Amino acid sequence: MDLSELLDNLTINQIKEVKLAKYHRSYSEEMRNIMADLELIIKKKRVKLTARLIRLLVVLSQINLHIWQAKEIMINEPSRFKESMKLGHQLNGIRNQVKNLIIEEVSSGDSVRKKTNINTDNLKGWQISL
Amino acid sequence: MKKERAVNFTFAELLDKLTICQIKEALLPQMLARKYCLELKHLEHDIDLFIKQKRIKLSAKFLRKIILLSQLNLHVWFLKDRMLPEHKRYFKLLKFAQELNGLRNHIKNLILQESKEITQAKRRTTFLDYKNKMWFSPLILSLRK
Repeated sequence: MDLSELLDNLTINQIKEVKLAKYHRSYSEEMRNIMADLELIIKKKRVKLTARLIRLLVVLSQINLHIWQAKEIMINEPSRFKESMKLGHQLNGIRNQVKNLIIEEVSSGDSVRKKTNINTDNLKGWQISL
Repeated sequence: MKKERAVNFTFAELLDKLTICQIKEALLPQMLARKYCLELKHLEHDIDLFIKQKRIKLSAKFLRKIILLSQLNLHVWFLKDRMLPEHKRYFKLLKFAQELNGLRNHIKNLILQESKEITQAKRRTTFLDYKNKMWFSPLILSLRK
Protein backbone atom coordinates (compact mmCIF):
# COMPACT_ATOMS: atom_id res chain seq x y z
CA MET A 1 0.00 0.00 0.00
CA ASP A 2 1.30 3.48 -0.79
CA LEU A 3 1.18 6.42 1.58
CA SER A 4 -2.15 7.77 0.30
CA GLU A 5 -3.85 4.40 0.85
CA LEU A 6 -2.40 4.11 4.34
CA LEU A 7 -3.54 7.61 5.24
CA ASP A 8 -6.99 6.90 3.82
CA ASN A 9 -7.18 3.73 5.91
CA LEU A 10 -6.05 5.59 9.01
CA THR A 11 -8.73 8.27 8.58
CA ILE A 12 -11.45 5.60 8.21
CA ASN A 13 -10.29 3.65 11.25
CA GLN A 14 -10.21 6.90 13.21
CA ILE A 15 -13.87 7.53 12.33
CA LYS A 16 -14.74 4.02 13.45
CA GLU A 17 -12.88 4.38 16.74
CA VAL A 18 -15.04 7.39 17.62
CA LYS A 19 -18.34 6.19 16.10
CA LEU A 20 -18.13 2.55 17.13
CA ALA A 21 -16.32 2.96 20.43
CA LYS A 22 -17.20 -0.52 21.72
CA TYR A 23 -14.87 -2.08 19.13
CA HIS A 24 -12.05 0.31 20.01
CA ARG A 25 -9.48 -2.48 20.56
CA SER A 26 -9.74 -3.72 17.02
CA TYR A 27 -9.51 -0.22 15.48
CA SER A 28 -6.73 0.83 17.80
CA GLU A 29 -4.64 -2.22 16.85
CA GLU A 30 -5.30 -1.66 13.15
CA MET A 31 -4.22 1.98 13.48
CA ARG A 32 -1.04 0.95 15.27
CA ASN A 33 -0.16 -1.33 12.35
CA ILE A 34 -0.97 1.37 9.79
CA MET A 35 1.13 3.90 11.69
CA ALA A 36 4.07 1.50 11.81
CA ASP A 37 3.89 1.14 8.02
CA LEU A 38 3.55 4.91 7.64
CA GLU A 39 6.73 5.40 9.68
CA LEU A 40 8.56 2.97 7.40
CA ILE A 41 7.48 4.87 4.26
CA ILE A 42 8.21 8.28 5.82
CA LYS A 43 11.77 7.15 6.62
CA LYS A 44 12.40 5.22 3.42
CA LYS A 45 11.08 7.95 1.10
CA ARG A 46 12.25 10.78 3.35
CA VAL A 47 8.82 12.39 3.23
CA LYS A 48 8.87 15.98 4.50
CA LEU A 49 6.17 17.66 6.55
CA THR A 50 4.55 20.50 4.59
CA ALA A 51 1.42 22.59 5.04
CA ARG A 52 0.23 21.20 1.70
CA LEU A 53 0.44 17.62 2.98
CA ILE A 54 -1.38 18.64 6.19
CA ARG A 55 -4.13 20.34 4.17
CA LEU A 56 -4.57 17.30 1.90
CA LEU A 57 -4.81 15.08 4.97
CA VAL A 58 -7.39 17.41 6.55
CA VAL A 59 -9.54 17.22 3.40
CA LEU A 60 -9.18 13.43 3.14
CA SER A 61 -10.10 12.98 6.83
CA GLN A 62 -13.16 15.18 6.52
CA ILE A 63 -14.34 13.83 3.15
CA ASN A 64 -14.35 10.32 4.59
CA LEU A 65 -16.43 11.57 7.51
CA HIS A 66 -18.82 13.34 5.10
CA ILE A 67 -19.19 10.03 3.22
CA TRP A 68 -19.84 8.24 6.53
CA GLN A 69 -22.47 10.87 7.36
CA ALA A 70 -24.15 10.36 3.95
CA LYS A 71 -24.28 6.60 4.61
CA GLU A 72 -25.83 7.17 8.05
CA ILE A 73 -28.53 9.31 6.42
CA MET A 74 -29.15 6.53 3.88
CA ILE A 75 -29.82 4.13 6.76
CA ASN A 76 -31.73 6.44 9.08
CA GLU A 77 -33.75 8.58 6.65
CA PRO A 78 -35.21 6.39 3.88
CA SER A 79 -36.75 9.43 2.17
CA ARG A 80 -33.24 10.79 1.53
CA PHE A 81 -31.72 7.43 0.49
CA LYS A 82 -31.10 8.19 -3.21
CA GLU A 83 -29.93 11.77 -2.60
CA SER A 84 -27.44 10.62 0.05
CA MET A 85 -26.26 7.64 -1.96
CA LYS A 86 -25.48 9.96 -4.90
CA LEU A 87 -23.71 12.43 -2.61
CA GLY A 88 -21.60 9.62 -1.15
CA HIS A 89 -20.64 8.51 -4.67
CA GLN A 90 -19.80 12.08 -5.71
CA LEU A 91 -17.71 12.69 -2.59
CA ASN A 92 -15.85 9.49 -3.32
CA GLY A 93 -14.67 11.20 -6.52
CA ILE A 94 -13.21 14.06 -4.44
CA ARG A 95 -11.65 11.54 -2.04
CA ASN A 96 -9.85 9.83 -4.95
CA GLN A 97 -8.71 13.20 -6.34
CA VAL A 98 -7.18 14.02 -2.94
CA LYS A 99 -5.46 10.64 -2.76
CA ASN A 100 -3.92 11.30 -6.20
CA LEU A 101 -2.74 14.73 -4.99
CA ILE A 102 -1.10 13.06 -1.96
CA ILE A 103 0.72 10.67 -4.32
CA GLU A 104 1.95 13.72 -6.29
CA GLU A 105 2.93 15.60 -3.11
CA VAL A 106 5.05 12.83 -1.61
CA SER A 107 5.97 11.03 -4.85
CA SER A 108 5.29 7.80 -3.05
CA GLY A 109 4.10 6.05 -6.17
CA ASP A 110 3.88 6.32 -9.91
CA SER A 111 0.87 6.94 -12.14
CA VAL A 112 -0.07 3.25 -11.88
CA ARG A 113 -1.12 3.88 -8.29
CA LYS A 114 -3.32 6.83 -9.16
CA LYS A 115 -7.06 6.46 -8.84
CA THR A 116 -9.09 6.75 -12.04
CA ASN A 117 -12.52 7.03 -10.43
CA ILE A 118 -12.28 10.76 -9.83
CA ASN A 119 -15.53 11.90 -11.44
CA THR A 120 -17.85 13.88 -9.15
CA ASP A 121 -20.88 13.66 -11.51
CA ASN A 122 -21.76 17.40 -11.48
CA LEU A 123 -21.49 17.73 -7.71
CA LYS A 124 -22.69 21.23 -6.84
CA GLY A 125 -22.15 23.35 -3.74
CA TRP A 126 -18.88 21.77 -2.66
CA GLN A 127 -15.96 24.14 -3.07
CA ILE A 128 -12.65 22.61 -2.14
CA SER A 129 -9.70 24.65 -3.37
CA LEU A 130 -6.85 22.22 -3.84
CA MET B 1 5.00 50.20 22.06
CA LYS B 2 6.35 47.18 20.16
CA LYS B 3 5.44 46.98 16.49
CA GLU B 4 5.30 43.18 16.47
CA ARG B 5 2.31 41.36 17.90
CA ALA B 6 2.85 40.04 21.40
CA VAL B 7 0.32 37.22 21.15
CA ASN B 8 0.63 34.96 18.14
CA PHE B 9 -1.25 31.84 17.22
CA THR B 10 0.33 28.61 18.36
CA PHE B 11 0.96 25.77 15.91
CA ALA B 12 -2.00 23.90 17.41
CA GLU B 13 -4.26 26.94 16.91
CA LEU B 14 -3.18 27.30 13.29
CA LEU B 15 -3.92 23.63 12.60
CA ASP B 16 -7.27 23.86 14.37
CA LYS B 17 -8.18 26.94 12.33
CA LEU B 18 -7.18 25.15 9.13
CA THR B 19 -9.51 22.23 9.89
CA ILE B 20 -12.45 24.54 10.71
CA CYS B 21 -11.85 26.73 7.68
CA GLN B 22 -11.81 23.59 5.52
CA ILE B 23 -15.23 22.58 6.86
CA LYS B 24 -16.59 26.04 6.08
CA GLU B 25 -15.11 26.11 2.58
CA ALA B 26 -16.83 22.82 1.78
CA LEU B 27 -20.18 23.40 3.46
CA LEU B 28 -20.99 27.10 3.44
CA PRO B 29 -22.54 28.86 0.41
CA GLN B 30 -20.42 29.24 -2.71
CA MET B 31 -20.20 33.04 -2.41
CA LEU B 32 -18.21 32.62 0.82
CA ALA B 33 -15.91 29.93 -0.59
CA ARG B 34 -13.42 32.42 -2.05
CA LYS B 35 -13.02 34.08 1.35
CA TYR B 36 -12.22 30.75 2.99
CA CYS B 37 -9.96 29.74 0.12
CA LEU B 38 -7.85 32.85 0.76
CA GLU B 39 -7.83 32.25 4.52
CA LEU B 40 -6.70 28.64 3.91
CA LYS B 41 -3.82 29.91 1.78
CA HIS B 42 -2.73 32.29 4.56
CA LEU B 43 -2.95 29.51 7.13
CA GLU B 44 -0.91 27.15 4.91
CA HIS B 45 1.71 29.88 4.56
CA ASP B 46 1.98 30.38 8.33
CA ILE B 47 2.03 26.64 8.99
CA ASP B 48 4.93 26.22 6.55
CA LEU B 49 6.81 29.01 8.34
CA PHE B 50 6.17 27.34 11.66
CA ILE B 51 7.37 23.93 10.42
CA LYS B 52 10.63 25.50 9.21
CA GLN B 53 11.25 27.69 12.25
CA LYS B 54 10.48 25.00 14.84
CA ARG B 55 11.87 22.16 12.69
CA ILE B 56 8.79 20.06 13.22
CA LYS B 57 9.30 16.57 11.89
CA LEU B 58 6.82 14.36 10.14
CA SER B 59 5.72 11.28 12.05
CA ALA B 60 2.79 8.89 11.89
CA LYS B 61 1.74 9.97 15.39
CA PHE B 62 1.59 13.59 14.29
CA LEU B 63 -0.47 12.67 11.21
CA ARG B 64 -2.95 10.81 13.42
CA LYS B 65 -3.38 13.92 15.58
CA ILE B 66 -4.15 15.97 12.46
CA ILE B 67 -6.73 13.40 11.35
CA LEU B 68 -8.36 13.36 14.77
CA LEU B 69 -8.43 17.15 15.06
CA SER B 70 -9.99 17.51 11.58
CA GLN B 71 -12.64 14.93 12.26
CA LEU B 72 -13.47 16.04 15.80
CA ASN B 73 -14.27 19.52 14.52
CA LEU B 74 -16.51 18.06 11.83
CA HIS B 75 -18.23 15.71 14.33
CA VAL B 76 -19.00 18.77 16.49
CA TRP B 77 -20.31 20.64 13.41
CA PHE B 78 -22.67 17.74 12.57
CA LEU B 79 -23.90 17.56 16.17
CA LYS B 80 -24.63 21.29 16.26
CA ASP B 81 -26.63 20.89 13.03
CA ARG B 82 -28.76 18.26 14.75
CA MET B 83 -29.22 19.94 18.13
CA LEU B 84 -31.99 22.35 17.18
CA PRO B 85 -34.09 20.12 14.87
CA GLU B 86 -33.81 17.19 17.31
CA HIS B 87 -34.80 19.24 20.36
CA LYS B 88 -35.78 16.17 22.41
CA ARG B 89 -32.18 14.92 22.18
CA TYR B 90 -30.69 18.39 22.64
CA PHE B 91 -28.81 17.72 25.91
CA LYS B 92 -27.65 14.25 24.86
CA LEU B 93 -26.18 15.71 21.66
CA LEU B 94 -24.76 18.69 23.56
CA LYS B 95 -23.05 16.40 26.07
CA PHE B 96 -21.51 14.39 23.25
CA ALA B 97 -20.35 17.61 21.55
CA GLN B 98 -18.78 18.76 24.83
CA GLU B 99 -16.88 15.50 25.18
CA LEU B 100 -15.65 15.76 21.60
CA ASN B 101 -14.59 19.33 22.25
CA GLY B 102 -12.67 18.14 25.33
CA LEU B 103 -10.91 15.58 23.15
CA ARG B 104 -10.15 18.29 20.60
CA ASN B 105 -8.51 20.38 23.34
CA HIS B 106 -6.57 17.33 24.50
CA ILE B 107 -5.18 16.87 20.96
CA LYS B 108 -4.29 20.57 20.81
CA ASN B 109 -2.35 20.20 24.08
CA LEU B 110 -0.47 17.23 22.64
CA ILE B 111 0.43 19.31 19.56
CA LEU B 112 1.52 22.18 21.83
CA GLN B 113 3.91 19.75 23.51
CA GLU B 114 5.21 18.61 20.14
CA SER B 115 5.84 22.18 18.97
CA LYS B 116 7.43 22.97 22.36
CA GLU B 117 5.01 25.83 23.05
CA ILE B 118 3.27 24.35 26.04
CA THR B 119 2.82 26.71 28.97
CA GLN B 120 0.16 26.72 31.67
CA ALA B 121 -1.48 29.73 30.03
CA LYS B 122 -1.54 28.14 26.58
CA ARG B 123 -2.73 24.74 27.77
CA ARG B 124 -6.36 24.17 26.84
CA THR B 125 -8.78 23.08 29.54
CA THR B 126 -10.38 19.80 28.54
CA PHE B 127 -12.90 19.06 31.32
CA LEU B 128 -12.40 15.43 30.37
CA ASP B 129 -12.98 12.79 32.99
CA TYR B 130 -9.63 11.01 32.75
CA LYS B 131 -10.26 8.66 35.70
CA ASN B 132 -13.52 6.97 34.84
CA LYS B 133 -13.93 4.51 32.05
CA MET B 134 -15.57 6.73 29.48
CA TRP B 135 -16.04 5.87 25.81
CA PHE B 136 -13.09 8.14 24.96
CA SER B 137 -10.68 6.75 27.63
CA PRO B 138 -9.15 4.08 25.31
CA LEU B 139 -8.72 6.72 22.61
CA ILE B 140 -6.75 8.97 24.95
CA LEU B 141 -4.68 5.97 26.01
CA SER B 142 -3.96 4.96 22.43
CA LEU B 143 -2.63 8.46 21.69
CA ARG B 144 0.01 7.98 24.38
CA LYS B 145 1.38 4.75 22.91
